[in-house]
Amino acid sequence: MNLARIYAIAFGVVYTLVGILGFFVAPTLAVHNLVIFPVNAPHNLVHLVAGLAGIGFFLSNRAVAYCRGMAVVFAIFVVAGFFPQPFLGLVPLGGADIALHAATAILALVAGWIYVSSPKSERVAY
Amino acid sequence: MYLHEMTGMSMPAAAAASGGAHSDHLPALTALIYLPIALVVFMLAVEAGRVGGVRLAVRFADGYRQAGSAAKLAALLMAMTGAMHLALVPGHLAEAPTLGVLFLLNGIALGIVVVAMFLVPNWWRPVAAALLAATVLTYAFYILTGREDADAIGLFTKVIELAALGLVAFGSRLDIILGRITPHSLEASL
Repeated sequence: MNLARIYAIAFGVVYTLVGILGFFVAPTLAVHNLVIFPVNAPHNLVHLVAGLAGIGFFLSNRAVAYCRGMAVVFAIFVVAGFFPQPFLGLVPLGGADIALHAATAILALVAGWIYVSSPKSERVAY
Repeated sequence: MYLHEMTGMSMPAAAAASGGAHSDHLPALTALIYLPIALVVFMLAVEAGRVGGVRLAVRFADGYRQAGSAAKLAALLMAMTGAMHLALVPGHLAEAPTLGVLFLLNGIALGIVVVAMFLVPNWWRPVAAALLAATVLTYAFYILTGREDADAIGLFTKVIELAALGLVAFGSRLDIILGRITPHSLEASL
């Protein structure tokens, strides 16, 4: 089982959809809550980019690279979440987002580094 | 109940804050956001079971490995809509018990089909198609008879279900097309 590919397609599809839905709730720099998650336009854009990248890396059989990128980027988002919000006056990353980003980063770490036991796992066709 | 009724916000403000969604439907978005985490943890558990020799996990892992990309994507979409429906159960049981029970049964049924499609690959396709069609038609019935108002989240889940239905019905052809154009196949052909 190629966990990296599962991670890439699951997070890719859902983040893409959440990114699109987010623009209906918060289409500007003003912060609104998507249920319990604070979002605005740049935040939605990050979701959309992360989602589309997941689908792209899944289709191009480079899911491990995607997982590793997600682990690093979302770990940075977790740290940024503890700074005054919106972070840099631009992107809200605090509140409920911290736990969500942490779980995303931890699973990316597992799928991208810990679980990958052999370079050949990337070539499994599923 | 809509968000503007709950909060006293003006209709445009409430619509902006909820994306034009029925407030009772917002838990569905939470379920959607947490779903990838739940799915990856589930697959980790399956893999741990497979390595440990648990028969059901071995069978599921084998079925997953042999399934086509379209079937896996259909499973993901069905898991999404199933999770969203289950998240709506608590809110609807109080106000509209029949609808709450329907959401509960539908969510459970979708979950069973998602798991079963990798355990018993032979029969899942017609069952999944029937379940998805029934789900869409039931929603249409509720909207057309005025029992439920159409909102963004409701329509969004129907798009997901129709996409899943398309993958269930025409997935084999899609797998053939994907098999022809993915870099993996290009690499294999070289």
